[in-house]
Amino acid sequence: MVSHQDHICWGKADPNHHPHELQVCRLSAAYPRSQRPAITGISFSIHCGHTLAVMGPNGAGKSTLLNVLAGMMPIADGQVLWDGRPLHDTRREVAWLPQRSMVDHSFPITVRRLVEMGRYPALGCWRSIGEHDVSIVDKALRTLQIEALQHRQIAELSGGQLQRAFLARALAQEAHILLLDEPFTGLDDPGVRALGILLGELAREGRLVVASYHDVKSASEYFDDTLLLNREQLAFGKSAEVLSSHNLNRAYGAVH
Amino acid sequence: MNDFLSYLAEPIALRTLWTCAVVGFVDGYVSALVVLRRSSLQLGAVSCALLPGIAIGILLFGLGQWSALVGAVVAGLLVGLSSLFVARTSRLHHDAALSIIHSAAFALGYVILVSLGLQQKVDDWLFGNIMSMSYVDLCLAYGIGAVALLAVTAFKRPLLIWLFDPNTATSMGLPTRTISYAVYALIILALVSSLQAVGALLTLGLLVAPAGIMRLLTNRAELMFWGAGAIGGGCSVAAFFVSYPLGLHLGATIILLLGLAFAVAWRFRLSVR
Repeated sequence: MVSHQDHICWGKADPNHHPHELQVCRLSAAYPRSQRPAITGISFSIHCGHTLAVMGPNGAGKSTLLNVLAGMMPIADGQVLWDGRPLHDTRREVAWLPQRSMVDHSFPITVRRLVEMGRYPALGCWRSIGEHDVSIVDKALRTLQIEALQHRQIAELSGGQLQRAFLARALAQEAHILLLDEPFTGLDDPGVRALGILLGELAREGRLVVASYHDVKSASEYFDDTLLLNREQLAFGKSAEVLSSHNLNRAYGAVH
Repeated sequence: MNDFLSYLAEPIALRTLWTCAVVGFVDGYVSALVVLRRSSLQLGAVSCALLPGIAIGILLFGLGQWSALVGAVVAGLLVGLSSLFVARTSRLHHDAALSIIHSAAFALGYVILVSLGLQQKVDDWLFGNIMSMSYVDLCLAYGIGAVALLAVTAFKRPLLIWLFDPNTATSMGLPTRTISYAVYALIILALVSSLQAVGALLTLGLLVAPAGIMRLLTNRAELMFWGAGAIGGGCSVAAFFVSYPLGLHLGATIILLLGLAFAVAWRFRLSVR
């Protein structure tokens, strides 16, 4: 097993190190009890160190794709590979961040305890939290600048702060791939900007950030690459190129 | 008062007192799962559905403790699972499906019990009769309590992750389906263990109120389990000493005291935000 220190992409991407690669090959997925696949024929590959926006109209399958990558929905057809091996063999490489509206804000838990949850895949059920884990949690809190909030209840946090707490949990998990479902929903303009820049920074440190995103105008500002889909893949590549008016018309209709 | 003291000297009084303490603690402890999982409403429906289970158990196997208990367990599981099934396969929301199924089941149970000529017994099943609890019932409560304590203590870490957000738990590779069935089974078992003590209707209070009270007083999920157990056990024991001299129904007194404790806790609750 790879030791923790070798494994983390904290701070710098090793220039001599071969970058990790996520490959999605002809991926299809369907909801249980549904005849029609929710997404079909998704194929792209991307290296860590990048931010990827998943875009498309409502019901296009953005959440479905994230759920499949997170291992929460089964793959109907195709493959998802991480460095050539099935992604779901290395579950802790993936951290999934829930939509803020989907979690119980009143749950009695402090920010620090929430971030500690990220250590579960490494610790399992019974191993107790050691010095190493404490230092990782500290570092995650520091990176997201929420150290001062660590003993607060999550009920006391603003939307942006809660988002940071979830990101800190993902960092504490030492995952390479961060999957964010609608992270920008409900944030005000400065909040959107701050989160966009933050995601870019986390990616520069050697992670792969994949998020569903809505705003066509600002996508290329925050995301290196964009996957445009509407149940099937419409375009993939550099954000500015993908979000051409031709492609947008195909995805959203003539409105845009 | 002398009356009460001489009653206390009888073995049945001691057993009743013990039963109050054990059932109260076990239900209180498990109530933390109910409250943290936000499933109080569902539980209300399921507890009512125990009545037809009891009735059918008696119909099939005759009047007896085990036939009633087995019937209750089976009914609890059936109603819970069937409502999930209905909600998944139709456009009806889980809540609505559950309400329809449980009220129909409740009516069915009542009809069967009355037609079996067990009208007197109906009161006991609905509101409980701790005096009628046997040594076997007490052992059952011990067993369920032991299982709950061991399971929650051993699996506290994954359990809290799941309670907070089942989706994240799935993404971390936790067997969430197994966890949710196990927790559901544990709640049903606790429900059944207190069935004779406080009855199908009142048991809901014992399985929600203790953790609800603790939630007002603490911000630590871990504390809720033991604290709720202590509150459940404490109120039940207190109810034993209050109900006899005043001539009140013991099961109802337990729930009344819990309601009172909730009101007091509300007064001294922690401020959130």
